[in-house]
Amino acid sequence: MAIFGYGSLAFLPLPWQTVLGWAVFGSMLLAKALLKRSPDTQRMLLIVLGLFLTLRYWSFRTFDTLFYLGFLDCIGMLLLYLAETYGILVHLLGMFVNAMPLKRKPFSADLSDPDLPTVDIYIPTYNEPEEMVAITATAAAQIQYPREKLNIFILDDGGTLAKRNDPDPEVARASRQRHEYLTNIAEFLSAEFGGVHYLTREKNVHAKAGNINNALVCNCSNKLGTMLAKPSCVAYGLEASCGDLILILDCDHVPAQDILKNTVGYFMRDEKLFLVQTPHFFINPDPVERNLGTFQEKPSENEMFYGAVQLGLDFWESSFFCGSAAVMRRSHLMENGGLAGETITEDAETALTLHSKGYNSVFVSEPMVCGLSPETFGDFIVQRNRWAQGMIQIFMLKNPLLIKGLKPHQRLCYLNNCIFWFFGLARMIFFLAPLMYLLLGLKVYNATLGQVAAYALPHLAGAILLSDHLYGGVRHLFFSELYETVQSVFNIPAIFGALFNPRSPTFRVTPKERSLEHDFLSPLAVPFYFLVFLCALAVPAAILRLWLFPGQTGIILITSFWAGFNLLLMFLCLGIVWERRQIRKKHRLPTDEPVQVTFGDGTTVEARSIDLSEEGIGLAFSNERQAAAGDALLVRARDSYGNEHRFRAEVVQARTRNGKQVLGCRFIMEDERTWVRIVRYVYGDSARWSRFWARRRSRRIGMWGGIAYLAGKAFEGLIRNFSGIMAIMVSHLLHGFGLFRRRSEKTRMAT
Amino acid sequence: MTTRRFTRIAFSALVLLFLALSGPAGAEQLRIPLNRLSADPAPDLRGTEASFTLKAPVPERWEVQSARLVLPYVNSSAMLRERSRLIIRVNGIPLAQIALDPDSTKGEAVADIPGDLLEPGYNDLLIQVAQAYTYDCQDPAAPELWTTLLLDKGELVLDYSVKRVPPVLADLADAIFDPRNPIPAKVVLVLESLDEEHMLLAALAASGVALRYEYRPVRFIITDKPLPDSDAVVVGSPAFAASLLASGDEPPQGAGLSIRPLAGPGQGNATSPGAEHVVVCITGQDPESRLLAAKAFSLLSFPLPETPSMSVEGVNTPEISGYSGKDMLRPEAEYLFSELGFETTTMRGARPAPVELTFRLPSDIHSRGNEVVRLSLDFAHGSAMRSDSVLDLRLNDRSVASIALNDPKGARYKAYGVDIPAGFFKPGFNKLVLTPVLTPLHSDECTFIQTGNLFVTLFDTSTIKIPALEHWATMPMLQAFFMDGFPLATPPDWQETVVALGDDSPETAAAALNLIAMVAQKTGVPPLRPRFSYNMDPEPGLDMLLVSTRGALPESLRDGLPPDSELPQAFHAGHVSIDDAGADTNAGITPDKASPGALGDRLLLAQLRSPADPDRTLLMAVAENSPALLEGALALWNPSVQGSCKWGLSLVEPDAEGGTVTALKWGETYHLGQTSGIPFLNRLVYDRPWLALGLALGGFLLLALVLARLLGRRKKRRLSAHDQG
Repeated sequence: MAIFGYGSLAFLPLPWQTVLGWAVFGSMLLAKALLKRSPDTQRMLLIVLGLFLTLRYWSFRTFDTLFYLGFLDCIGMLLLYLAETYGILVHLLGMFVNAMPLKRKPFSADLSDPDLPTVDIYIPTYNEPEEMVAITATAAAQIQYPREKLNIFILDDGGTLAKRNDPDPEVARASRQRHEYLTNIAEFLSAEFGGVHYLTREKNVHAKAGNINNALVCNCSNKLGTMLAKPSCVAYGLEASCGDLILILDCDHVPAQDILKNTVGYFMRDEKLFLVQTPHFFINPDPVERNLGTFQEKPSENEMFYGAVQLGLDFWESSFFCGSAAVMRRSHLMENGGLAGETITEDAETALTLHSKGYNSVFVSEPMVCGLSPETFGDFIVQRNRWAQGMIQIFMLKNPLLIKGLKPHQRLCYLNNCIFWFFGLARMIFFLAPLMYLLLGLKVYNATLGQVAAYALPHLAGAILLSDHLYGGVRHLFFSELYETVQSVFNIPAIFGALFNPRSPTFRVTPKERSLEHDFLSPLAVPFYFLVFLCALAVPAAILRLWLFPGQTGIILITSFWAGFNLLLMFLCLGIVWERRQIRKKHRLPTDEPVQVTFGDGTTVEARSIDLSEEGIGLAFSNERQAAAGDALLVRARDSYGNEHRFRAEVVQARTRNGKQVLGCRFIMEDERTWVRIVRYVYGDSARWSRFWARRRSRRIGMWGGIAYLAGKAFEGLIRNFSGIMAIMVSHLLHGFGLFRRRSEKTRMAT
Repeated sequence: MTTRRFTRIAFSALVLLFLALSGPAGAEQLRIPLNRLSADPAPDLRGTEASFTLKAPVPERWEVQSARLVLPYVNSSAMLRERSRLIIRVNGIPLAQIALDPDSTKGEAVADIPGDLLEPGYNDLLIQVAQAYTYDCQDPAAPELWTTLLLDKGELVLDYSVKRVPPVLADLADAIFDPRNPIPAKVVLVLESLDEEHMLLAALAASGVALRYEYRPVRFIITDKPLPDSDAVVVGSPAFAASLLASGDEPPQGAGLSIRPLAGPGQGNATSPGAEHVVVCITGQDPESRLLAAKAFSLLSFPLPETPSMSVEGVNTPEISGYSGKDMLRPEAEYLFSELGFETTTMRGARPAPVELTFRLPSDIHSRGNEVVRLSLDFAHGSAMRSDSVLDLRLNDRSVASIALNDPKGARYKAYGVDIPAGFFKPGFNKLVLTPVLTPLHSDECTFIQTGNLFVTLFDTSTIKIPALEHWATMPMLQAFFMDGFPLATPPDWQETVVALGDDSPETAAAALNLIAMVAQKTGVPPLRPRFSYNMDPEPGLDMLLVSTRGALPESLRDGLPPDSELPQAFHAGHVSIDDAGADTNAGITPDKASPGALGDRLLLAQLRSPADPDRTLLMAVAENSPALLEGALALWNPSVQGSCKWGLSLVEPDAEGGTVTALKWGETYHLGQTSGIPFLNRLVYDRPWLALGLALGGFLLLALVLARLLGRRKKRRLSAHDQG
């Protein structure tokens, strides 16, 4: 290791460094091509080689490129250096975290085992639509687990005593309605399946963590019946005699039937286990995916976290609680006083605290809940800023490097989790750096073209190759840069807010299931136009500089290429902030599963389901059998557990595509039980989510293909944005013209 | 009467004849080619007015009776004869003016210089021109106004006599070993013994002489007694010195220095220059006192009294660091211009003469690429200059920066920063030239053009700051040895060097002393701490200068030299360089003389990695026999011969014009320097880069395998802790 360190930092003449840099990169390519049969060795070799290139580049930047050349130059130079150093630190921590991702085999518990622990399912809710909560509760009630060992609690913070008696009569009325609706749902489900309860409290304190902690206290009173008869539940005393395990589900996270079967067994083997976290699968595209049209083509942003990072964290005993879709051991949680509440990311904070007490965690990489992403760009930013602020709060208030009890590798993992969220600052500096030179002439990067070719390019190429290897299946090339860029403008104030006053951020619920009836420009779009304008200015500035300073051709070319890449990202951002409408009320997940369709005349055809939601199903089958809108159908399907599902449906739309009959059908709701069965079919099968992920991850493309794909999306987004703007302007003009004409007519008539 | 008258006339005629034949008492004549007084053999004088200065040296011991300057030139044919003149001034006094004739463009200016005008020291021979192409007002920078001085065809003829004054020790620097003496110096070393102790003393003595001669070549030979035509330095015990001196001239008994007029057959003969030479005695009763005396002699800072002899009680030896010495600028240091010998200078006129700064950087500096040398210039410029007036900076004949002097009200700048990439500087000597180009505010052709206001003053408080630089050199590099003795004279007191002699002949010893004195002259530091030895086995931790005949070389070292068949034959077609590939650039040159042996009369200089220590260097000076060894070493005093020695092997063939050098890229490449703290890895990386690369990649693979194995075990543990099976 010492020799490795020496080799990384030792000075070499430039021609030798050029040879070394590209030889190491060539070795990475060879390792990628030749070591496929030994994935662990291959990954480790790629990490070692990539680490070497990165350290050499950083030592070059540190020892060879930092000079005082003037006050402003120096400021710009240091900012860029710090941003690069930050990026390199995150890159190195990423290497560490992902050194050996732990992909666990499915571990099915024997549900007939008399020693199975008792489980409470918590569904905290605040202001989300009641129907959304109902679906989650309905799916939870159908989870495979002994009924006598399972209780489900709808933890309603939207129907607290305080809310129902709010001075605003409208608020109080809505709260009472909600309270009544959810109580009825709980009673209905309890009657159907048993053990479903509605629980609220007196006041809304400490947001989601307070809600769950309140439930933890209430449920452990051993007076469940008594308690449920009360209008609210306030401290019943901390006791550990109720449900051994807690499954926490956000109210938009609909669980599959096997979520407990696949998670509870881990707790039976390890007494010190406090957490089994599972991935969050989102049925709908996030605003970036929807507005750029990448949802069905590329892995979602969160797949990198749940498909790679959490696996790596699990290896280092550091996979952490993500707020939902996780089973926790009550006793360990109670030892911690419930969920931690000092920060607004109570989930990560809780995991950090329990890890520091020596407890273990496990990550199961199969998705077993189906959730919803934020619908609008604004909601997306609200969510991400909350995460950013929460993780920075942890960094400031419970710094993982200083907190007692953590193992060194856990410290590094949590450090990675925390400092990642400073990306907004770095990203903005990376955006501004080429402009500092092209527009202002500031010398912020003191390297020649030869040095860039010898140090920077091998490092960049190696980092891209390594990232592609570590995350390529779950993250499209440069999508990280895109997500970071689009958040950075709004992320920076949040970062500073949390940095300078770590106790100030407050919990803001992410709005879900918003209606998007028509295209519109996000109110957050304005900064991007300014940034595009700045980037566009760089083009004439670069040409002018080439003409005025022919001796600086190298640095002008480098910065121009850099600014060009930034401009491409900005075009993508313009595409993102132009919000596209969401046609369906309910999100339909693309599927490809066999079903049998029986028509009214008794004929049955073998068909494939092509999409699915709790409202309806898309079907495709041979063109030999024709159907028309209004036809009634019986749909039979099997889930991956072997259960058969039958539904009645009505054809809403029928068309022919590629020689096949394609039907859009709506489920016919005969009664509440039908709805329960539909929920079970649509959301109950976790294999469907896995198949969907696997299908998207299989669509990998190379680096140049990836750049071309992004460029295509960028120009698509640009055109959509500007044509949308034009449409708005024309509409306003026409509106103005109409007003003018009406006024003229009024005047004429008056005269 | 007739007889007496005849006798008187005849006697008078004889006296007159004798006087006519003998001339002034001790009169000598020396012809100095003018190109030896200037680096530029044909300077151009351009514009309406321009000048060029030659420095004429006059040694302290000379009394110049008369002199004559002969200066051929070529002038433009576009000039007006009536208004164009060439003027010669000596120490400010105009002695000649010649009309520059467009009809006769080649001319020769001759100026007779009275002897009393030339003082000991450097005398200014100023050649000025006033040039015009029209009777009306004219463009001061008109390109057709030029005169070229043909210095290589001109000469300064000096008629002088040597002063005869009793020498004192204080005269050693100014009068005895006088750098202004244009006659090549030869100094005889008389040593009591050639053992290791006396060789060190002789090295100090030779260096002391060479340092006093500053940059003048000094040829040292070793004899058993002083020679009448040369100054001599005697090193040994007082008794040994006394045996060589006239009776009554005994030197001091303890550590002592003394100086005596040379006692010999020429003494007292006014027509012989040998009559004025001296013997310097460096003596002591025991080795310590002799070393004390030799150190005192070698250190220029040691004060010498106005007496013929002195006893030395003690010497304060200055602290010598790794990179120090004459004109040396060290990395990570800032120097005032005044420390570089620069004095505040005002440059006046439209095209004033530039100012120069010369300095040395260590021979093994290596720029990583981005370091900058920062000049902080303190300067002022005149007012009412046009805005295109500039101060150009040229480094090693390459324009590197320019400062606009564009304030019409004039300006004074303190610490005006100019950054020059460190890569523009060379290891060794560097020359920074600051050239003002000043333009009058009103420069229309028919306007009175005022140039009196055009000036730039550069203050000696300006500084140059050398950044931190790597010490890294690709060897062999003989040129570095002749630049500053690198690596043997690093540190410059030779503390890490053994000087090994192949035999105890005076010629071999003198050859070694010449090489050491030559380097001392470059570093400015005497060799205070080398170790002399007759054991030629290289030693770990030490560089080695090995001076030997080929026959006396140990077999292992002799085998390390290229075989005779691979040595090129002697060429007499100038300085030839042959590269590894086989000298295709010189394929057309044919040797005009077959050498008797492979080496013949030539001196072979070979630089290679020390067999005893891979971080050390062995420099071998080898010839077929001792006289050839000495002749070769003496030839190396010639700057052009030194300049031609490079790469790993050079063959020096002495001739009447100095010497001819054939340089070859020979020997294994190795590197010296301080690029990291792990010398073994340094050597591996720099000497066998491909092997190092292969090992590095192999190491990465091994590291990856080990890490994969270790992490794999942990993975199994993690899985078995929770998962089934």
